Amino acid sequence: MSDVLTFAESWTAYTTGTVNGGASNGPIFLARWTSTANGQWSIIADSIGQYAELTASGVSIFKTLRTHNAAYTVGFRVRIPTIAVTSLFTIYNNAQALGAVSINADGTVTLSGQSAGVSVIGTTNESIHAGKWYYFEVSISLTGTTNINVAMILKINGSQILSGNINTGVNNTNLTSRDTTLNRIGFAGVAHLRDIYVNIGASQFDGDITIRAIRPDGDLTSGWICSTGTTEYVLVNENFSDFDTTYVYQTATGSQAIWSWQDLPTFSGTIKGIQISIMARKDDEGSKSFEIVTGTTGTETASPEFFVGDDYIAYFHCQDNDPATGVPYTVSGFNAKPFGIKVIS
Amino acid sequence: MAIYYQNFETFAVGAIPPYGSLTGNANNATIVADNYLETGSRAAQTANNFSSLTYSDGSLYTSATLYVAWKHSEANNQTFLQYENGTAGSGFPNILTIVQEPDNSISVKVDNNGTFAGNSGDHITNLNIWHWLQVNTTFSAIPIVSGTTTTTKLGVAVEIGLDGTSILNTGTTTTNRNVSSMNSGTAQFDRIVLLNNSIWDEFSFDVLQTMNTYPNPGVPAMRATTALIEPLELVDSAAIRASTGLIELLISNKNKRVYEM
Repeated sequence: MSDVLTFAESWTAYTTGTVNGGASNGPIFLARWTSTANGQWSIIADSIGQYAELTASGVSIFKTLRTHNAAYTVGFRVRIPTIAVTSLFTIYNNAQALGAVSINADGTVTLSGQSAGVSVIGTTNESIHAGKWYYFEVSISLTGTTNINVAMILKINGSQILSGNINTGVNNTNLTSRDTTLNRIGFAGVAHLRDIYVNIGASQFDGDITIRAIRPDGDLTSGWICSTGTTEYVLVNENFSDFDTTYVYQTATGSQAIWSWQDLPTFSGTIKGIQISIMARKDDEGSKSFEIVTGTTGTETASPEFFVGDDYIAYFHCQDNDPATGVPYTVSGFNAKPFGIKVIS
Repeated sequence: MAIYYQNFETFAVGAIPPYGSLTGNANNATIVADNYLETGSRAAQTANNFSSLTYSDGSLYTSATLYVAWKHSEANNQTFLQYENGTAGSGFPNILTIVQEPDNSISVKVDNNGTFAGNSGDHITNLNIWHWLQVNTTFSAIPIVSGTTTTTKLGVAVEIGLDGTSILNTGTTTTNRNVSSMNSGTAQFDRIVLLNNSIWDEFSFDVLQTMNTYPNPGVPAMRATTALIEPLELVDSAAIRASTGLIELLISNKNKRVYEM
């Protein structure tokens, strides 16, 4: 079975402060996200990490997912500073909304089959409170063609509180992809967000998860060249990317850089998945590609092949399971696992 | 060898005058100094929907390859590339538009009415990030027989490459455009227009149709600057904390009796 985890966001790879747009002036790692709301969202640090703050009504941030699929399950921790009518979460096929979670003036939560308030599926009886963190999970599943039916399930703090489906009136021949799929998520309104996961498939609930961030802490296979010195991992382990200040580079096909990584602290529970990110570019004309590899020899499994451009972008790869065992990572198994990169062409 | 190659390094910074086969919009197509790829300058257009930079060498082409460094600051259904037959004011010159969608995918639309021909789907670009863009186009005349009448329609086939890999190949789309109604009367184009909040460099025009044909092939190295793993932890040992207990009694006090809690 292929991995269901397709994207995760801890916000820990970003410098704090106001974000301008999606990439140009803000933290470049944000090539993951886009927004036209320059200066109206920020990365905030608190005692347990970092979160994103949308600071103005009508502000949206968007993430185009890697693949089109008929169903997704999305989880996110959210805090609404002031209860007011607002769209909170929307999922799209390109620009066509096909599922939304919105907040009402009384703090109740509404599920809609299109954008917020359009093709309403249902509204919760109880309300959420201003200024309190909640963990929301939403399953969205599409069926049919003319018209598309949207089925949604909402969980808050692990408890299913709303479900239903509706005929949206949307014909899939009017969608950009011309099929019954979703490929883009967005968050809006004045809200604080953290611990975001996106799984492919309906009802793929991970539960109230926390996302940590760890970085390389040792060289195992030093097949790339250092921009300075002879130790690779210290050039790629900064908390916030230093771009061309320190980096590793390589031209030769097949060359690998494999690193050991910081250990996770022991905890009782489950690792629901991991996301490995590499911020990379090429330095001249001509095409270049690489893969993210797993294991001491880099052969346990590999990511899709990433063709890089001339600017730094975060390329990421998700795994549900330890490829060596086929079951979820244990803490000890994860701590012992090397990950790295390999030049493909 | 490209038919035309322009790295804009001989242009003065500022507005783009007519320059050989290139003509910039007088007000909004500008050259901006830059150290992109360590050399040269790039052609840039300001945020104006009517700004444009047009390539036309006076010839008509049936098939061609555009190869260019490109980045785009807006993905809201913006057309960033257009192929034309003839000039504005002489019928409907627009025969092919290429659009960046809100999800950062790329769509190809044909004819002047924007008939959908294909979308790059899961292949997306990144805003404000340089990409190497290759566009292979082939125009053809397609006879349509209806009874005893044959009309010849314009056929359009487009393949788009991004950073060295093909992301969209539409095959041939038959448009509603009669070839006889086109300005040249032939299934060809003579103008390429770059437009709408996009930035261009290393412009190369050729009739080759091989993916990844760089005008000046380099030997690039991969650079990796930051690595990160984000594990999703689901803790099963969370404890519930209770901080305060309270019972609130709803008492009917009609007997004037007082209860103590």
